Amino acid sequence: MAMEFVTVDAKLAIPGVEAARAFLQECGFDDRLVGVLMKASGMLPMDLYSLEHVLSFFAYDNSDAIGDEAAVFQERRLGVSYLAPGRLARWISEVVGDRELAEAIEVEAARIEDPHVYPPRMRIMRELVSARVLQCYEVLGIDMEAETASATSR
Amino acid sequence: MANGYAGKILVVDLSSGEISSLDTADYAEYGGGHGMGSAVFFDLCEDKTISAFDPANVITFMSGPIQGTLAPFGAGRCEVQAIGPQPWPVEWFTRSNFGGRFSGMLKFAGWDGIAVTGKAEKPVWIDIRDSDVTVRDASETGDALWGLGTYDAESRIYELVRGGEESDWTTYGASRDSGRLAQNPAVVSCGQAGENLVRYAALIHEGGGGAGQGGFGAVFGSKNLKAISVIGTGQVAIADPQALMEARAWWHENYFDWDDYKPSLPGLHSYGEGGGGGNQSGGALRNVGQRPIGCMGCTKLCHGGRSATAEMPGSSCFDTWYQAQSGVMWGNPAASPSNTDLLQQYGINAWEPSMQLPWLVGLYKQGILGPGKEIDSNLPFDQVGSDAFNAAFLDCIVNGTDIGADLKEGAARAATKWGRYEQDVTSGDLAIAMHGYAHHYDARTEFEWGAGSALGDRDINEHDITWVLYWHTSMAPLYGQPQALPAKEMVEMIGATLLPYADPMMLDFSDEGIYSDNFVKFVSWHRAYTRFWKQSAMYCDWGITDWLNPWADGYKGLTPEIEPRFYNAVTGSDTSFEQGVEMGTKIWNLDRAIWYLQGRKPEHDLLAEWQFRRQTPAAHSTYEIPYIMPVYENGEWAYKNLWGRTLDHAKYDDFLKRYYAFEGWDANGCPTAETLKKHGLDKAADELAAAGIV
Repeated sequence: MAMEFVTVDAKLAIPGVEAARAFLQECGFDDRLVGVLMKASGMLPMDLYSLEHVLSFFAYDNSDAIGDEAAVFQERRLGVSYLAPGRLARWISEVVGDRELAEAIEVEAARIEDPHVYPPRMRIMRELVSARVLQCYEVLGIDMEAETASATSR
Repeated sequence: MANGYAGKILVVDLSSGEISSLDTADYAEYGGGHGMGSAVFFDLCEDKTISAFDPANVITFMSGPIQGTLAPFGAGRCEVQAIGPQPWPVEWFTRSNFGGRFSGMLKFAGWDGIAVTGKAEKPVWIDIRDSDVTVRDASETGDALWGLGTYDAESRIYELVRGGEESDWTTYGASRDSGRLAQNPAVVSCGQAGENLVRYAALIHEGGGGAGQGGFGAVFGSKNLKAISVIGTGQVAIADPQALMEARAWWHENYFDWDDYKPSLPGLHSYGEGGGGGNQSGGALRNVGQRPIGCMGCTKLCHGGRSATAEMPGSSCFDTWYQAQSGVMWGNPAASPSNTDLLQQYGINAWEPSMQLPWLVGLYKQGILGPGKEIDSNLPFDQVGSDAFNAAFLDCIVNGTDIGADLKEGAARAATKWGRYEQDVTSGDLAIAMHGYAHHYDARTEFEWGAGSALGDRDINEHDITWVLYWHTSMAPLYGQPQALPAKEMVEMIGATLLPYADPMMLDFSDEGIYSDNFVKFVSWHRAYTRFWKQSAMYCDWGITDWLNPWADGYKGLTPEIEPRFYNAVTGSDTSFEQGVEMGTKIWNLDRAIWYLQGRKPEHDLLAEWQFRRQTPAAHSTYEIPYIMPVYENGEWAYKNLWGRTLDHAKYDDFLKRYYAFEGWDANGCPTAETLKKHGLDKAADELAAAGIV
């Protein structure tokens, strides 16, 4: 099969406190990003207002389990969280204000030869956004585990 | 006569308490399921202009000949019909369908269907044990079912029917030989949402099965009907048992190879996935703590695991997605699956709150909704995504508190009351597609889905052409895979099965193709095919149509052979695939006649405005995904990404005019007397004439 699995080379510089705070901000209604959960039974457009929302959105994807048949069929959440890398990069640059992250996504995604293939692109986006969010948590002293628990129970 | 039918349709009048029956033979011309349900409704509901909550509304549960047999993907399906409270702006006579055991058990009890009319004075439930039918007290002073969630009501009914026997066997009738079973009864019930007349209340059967669209749970509530339980100790008489077994073996050999798994695309399940794949919710048999469950007679086992540790027991498909829409979407990847359980217990159709939530959050973000705002609400929108918010959100809908007093009427009615409908449906921020129903598949690209839905009463929810000409064709390049077949070969293979037309040009999804006369013919064929083979013969939407089969030479599936093969083995008839499509056309015309008796007008055949515009800035309905479908352009077939297309008003209107003419309808879209009589629908023609409509 033609699937490419790539590692992310880009290293993001640690943001300052102000930048980290800004990167985690939720945007306004008119600036939101729309991703689509794609599944054979239908599609679900999802409004995304922050990098954390984007990360959560990607967490629902298991399209990169391709090639591991057992993993796909054991996975309850069979589906594709689709966001075009260019669209995400533009939103991160223009709305989130994180040009470094946006550029890293564009550069890394462009390394995939096949212009249509998605799972490795999703992995790139997920890994880079995840890295940035974790950096922001660290800079701001946010306990990631506590944050997750809070999101569930608050 | 051994022909798959039980012979009787049960009629229960909750106002008078009278229990009677109809002869199935009087409705045999409709095959079963939807066709019979429409005909029974037509006869029993004298005034079609009544509201969904009028006691005279008639709700039907219909099986057909293949239910309760070994025919694959059909044994458990049950068609539900009534005037539904969910459609907007008119409460159309509408339909839903659920799997499980209810339909088969109904046949084992000796009934082909149930029609319930009237309204009980106090909460009741219907207890069917073979031919014994009792309307029982469901109130607090009786069997105490009213007020329970659906899972709890079902469990309570199991206890009531089985009488607390310690033995595994329960005897029905006077003696052991009069009938005994180790099974629980099959129960369909409404939850608190139905009791409180939430317009999109569902009927739930065994955890996750259910009739979601239409609001039939609220029809139950309006009749003071909590549940129907049925246990049957009989059997279904088959016309040609040997032919049925041979058909089953033929299907087994050709539909899915249990010993040689060959997905059509690596890692993606085929339509014919079987053997415990649990492919809609991903629960393989080997999963720890999971036991995939399926409908009666089915090997596909779509439904999620049911065990002591499983969450979302029995839930499948879009129901399980509510976890995403209620939590994951809002930055909470650890959202609890119990969000879905709560939804099922209340008996709420998952589509509606899934559509409402992003719209409401948008209004909150814009400062329009919130404490003291234009739309006053004290719901904790600052905690959206959390389990606590979800509980508060669903609770307010079910109990009609806070904005739930409006939301329980459905998003379309709430938006209208709040003065938001035109703006938010034009922008697409409220993603209503047609008839008040949520966007599902994209009408702008999958025009047969959109037009078929608009011309009817609801989102059609028919995953046949979409599976082979959107999902597969869009997923292949996404995974770096070649298309299963070149576009020309694909449309020629499928087109050959579109009988009686057998015309691949009907599958041209190009910008011009979707408005063409060929596509008029395709929408007409699709409405007829599904009306009979999926909704009247009732093969499961996720089992049939078999158009693309990875285990067959050239990927050619079992359609159009499989549909009549099982049907004829059971009924002993010689019904051809084309005759089934023809019966579907008849049933489609009967439905259309009923809608005109309800006040249908051409404007009801339109799609919501956002599908005709490109929104700037991006709205909820504006997104980018691969939408790769076959097109015939410049004299050749190709696959093309159709994302970004919008519909054209003038072309859509012209399409409707030509569609009306093709079906033999008048300029207003109403079937003419001549057309109705041609289909043997004289009574419908007479009633429309008496009402001054034709």
